[in-house]
Amino acid sequence: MKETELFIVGATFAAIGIADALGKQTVIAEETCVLGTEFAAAFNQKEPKKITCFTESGKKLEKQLAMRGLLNPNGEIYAQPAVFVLAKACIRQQIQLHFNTLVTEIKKLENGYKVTLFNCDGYQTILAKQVIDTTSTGVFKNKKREKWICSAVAQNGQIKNEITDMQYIPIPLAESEGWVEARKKTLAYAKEKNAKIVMIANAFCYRDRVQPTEQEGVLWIPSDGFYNLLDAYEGGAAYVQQGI
Amino acid sequence: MCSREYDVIVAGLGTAGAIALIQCARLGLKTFGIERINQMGGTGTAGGIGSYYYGSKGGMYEELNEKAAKLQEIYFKTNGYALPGAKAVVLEKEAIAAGAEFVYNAVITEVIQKDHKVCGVVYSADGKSTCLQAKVLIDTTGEGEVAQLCGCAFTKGRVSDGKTQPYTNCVFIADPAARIENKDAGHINMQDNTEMSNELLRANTLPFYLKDAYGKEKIYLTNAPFPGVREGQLIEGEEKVTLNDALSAKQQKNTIFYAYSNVDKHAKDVAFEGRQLKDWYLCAGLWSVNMSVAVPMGAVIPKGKEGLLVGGRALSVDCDIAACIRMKSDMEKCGEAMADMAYLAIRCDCRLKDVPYAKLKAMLEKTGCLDEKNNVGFYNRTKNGLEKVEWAENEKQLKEDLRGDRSGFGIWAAKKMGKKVQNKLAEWLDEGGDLAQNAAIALALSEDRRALPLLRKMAQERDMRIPKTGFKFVQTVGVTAVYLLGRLADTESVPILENIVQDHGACEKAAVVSDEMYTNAFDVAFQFYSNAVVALLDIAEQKEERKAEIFAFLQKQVLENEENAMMVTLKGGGCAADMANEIKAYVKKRISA
Repeated sequence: MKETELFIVGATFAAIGIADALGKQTVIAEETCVLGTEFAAAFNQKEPKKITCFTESGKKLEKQLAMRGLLNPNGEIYAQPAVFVLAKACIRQQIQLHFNTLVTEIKKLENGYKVTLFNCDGYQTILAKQVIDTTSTGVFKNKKREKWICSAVAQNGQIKNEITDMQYIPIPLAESEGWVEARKKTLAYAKEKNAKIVMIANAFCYRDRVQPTEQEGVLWIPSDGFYNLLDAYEGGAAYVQQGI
Repeated sequence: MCSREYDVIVAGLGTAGAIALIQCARLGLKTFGIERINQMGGTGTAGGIGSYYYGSKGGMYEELNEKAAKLQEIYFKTNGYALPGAKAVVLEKEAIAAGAEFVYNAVITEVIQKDHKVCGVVYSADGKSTCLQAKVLIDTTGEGEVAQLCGCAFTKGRVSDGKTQPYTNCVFIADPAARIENKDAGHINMQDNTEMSNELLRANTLPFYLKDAYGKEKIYLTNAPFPGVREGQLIEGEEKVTLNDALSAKQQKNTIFYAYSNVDKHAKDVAFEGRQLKDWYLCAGLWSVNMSVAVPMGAVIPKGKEGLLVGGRALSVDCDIAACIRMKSDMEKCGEAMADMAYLAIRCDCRLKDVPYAKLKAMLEKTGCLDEKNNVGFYNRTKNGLEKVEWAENEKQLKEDLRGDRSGFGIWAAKKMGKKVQNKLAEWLDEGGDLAQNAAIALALSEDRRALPLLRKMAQERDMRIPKTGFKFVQTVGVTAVYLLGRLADTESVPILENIVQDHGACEKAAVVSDEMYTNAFDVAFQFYSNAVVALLDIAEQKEERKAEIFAFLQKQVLENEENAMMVTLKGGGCAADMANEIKAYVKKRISA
């Protein structure tokens, strides 16, 4: 049976920040085959917030983003290219990442966890000393949060050709509403406002702030519970460095 | 215990699957769809590839495209191009209107079977597992994920090295046109999670995407939610469509649709392809020629299983013709045909392979999914558009073709005519110029050794002439000659071939840069080098007395050579890939065999 020191659910910004800060042997399972969906694929644009990084991990990402022109002085971040930066961080840290992978069970043992995964290789079990869940609604989708659908739209048939001026429209969804309703609402919005849809997000957007909590022995640090992706990277790193 | 029972479950609601779902529901079947991502349409919608250049007309997809075109006005569009979100919305709407049920963000984790009959699936969504029963399961996951779970047999990749053609990494951008940026990124193995994940991470850091600085000229929106896989694993079906069937225009029994495209393989490492494809690509330069291919019922019925249909990208074809049977509308037709097959099997209470073809044909013809008018034969893409290919049928036409811009068609026509034109071709060797070179290539395809002296000269001189047969992916006649010297097992050419391997740098200096085949001089060098290596191995394989010497040479010059980087630009201005290790692995495999 495969063993790892740290197992993280979700290839999120918080996840990679945590792995960076702990510097342990890390396995990450991600349900999709894209990194950082909680900010990039969800078009998750909250109010701009200037983040001050204290951890070495956060400072590293901040430097990378600033150097590449992805972070402006107001704290606004150009999310999609930040995913490419995140991929580089994953490779640098030698994280063992599994895309298209479901976590089907997490069982607490006396001195760690038994995690069951499913992907194209079939079912596998991993023994992990530590497990952290960074997904939006928890690995077993049992955490309640405010759900939104965000769309990139061009008002008056124009895209303002500046990175932080792309207009992302968030529309609230009820907990029970899924993708069919999300698309219907977006189309209705576009018709009403005479806006042209550039793209509807590929992931739901969760905009509320969430404090890390522990449930059944698994620490839940939802990446999109932070202000933005840099805050998530820094916040995840800071949280784990402070105590666990 | 399964919670619900359906007539049909469609696994994977992509290009083929979404159509299968809608058609099944429209036919009155109780239908359930299971999709891994959050929308329908697969590569044609979420994957960003909204339109394909080829594929044949007819079928219920056309009505859906018209509806999508109407809805398109609500979507941002510049430069005549729009992202294909409207199609995803239309597919979803039509599925609901037809009464289909479906679930997104769900993964099939188990297939329920009784003896060899597929009876249902277990899927996981929202952290819960659900079991469903069905009379027929349609696997349109692209990789035959369901068929794999129930132990069906597959083939994958080329015979020589098992490799599939390159995949595309797709990113949605606005520059300010909203569009997809798709670059050939390398090779991906969707059956090995670690390999697949590492490859996708690497693709994200390619210089197209991970830049030192991001300007304002382009807005990156988001990554496509899956890689653009052109070729994956292929089901072993009751029947299999091959490149040979297509090139010989074989009429299939029980045809369900005609596919139409060129053999659009993106692989640059042509040297490692099978002989027939190399004859077509390398000798005749016919990469860009389109052909209609009949796909029979048996190509979607996996061997040894009942209650299961496998279609889309994974249908039962050989790896060469897989590059041709993959266009969007053809995959949509595949979905429609599978739905009709499932309907008839259920209504007639028969096995899928016993579906009454006359009834199926009538259903398919009604929507235009099957239309004899789509059995068009061969078409060549020219500056003036698509022109029907007429193969030379007599010596006069043949000579005209071989001496002019249609030389590739002449070469292929001569191959079809066989022995009866060999002496004439040999006569034309003395006439010199392009005619003699093309006649030599045509002769060699008939295993006629009279071609050898001229072929040796063409190889030795690294002849850089590029015939004008096709508009893309045509090789120099020097590379063609190298391939044919191996094909004819010409021992006299061994020093010439060894010289090319040792001094491929000489090819790099060549100023031949044509289309996507030769983006730069390194690409030219790679073609000479890789084909010379394979030619030497071909000679060694057929001439026992030269084996030891050739193997020793390749051991030293290829396997023990640490400095030999072989850079190749992947198609479509894709990334530069170092092929040195691939060549080494190939040589090692053949030497040890």
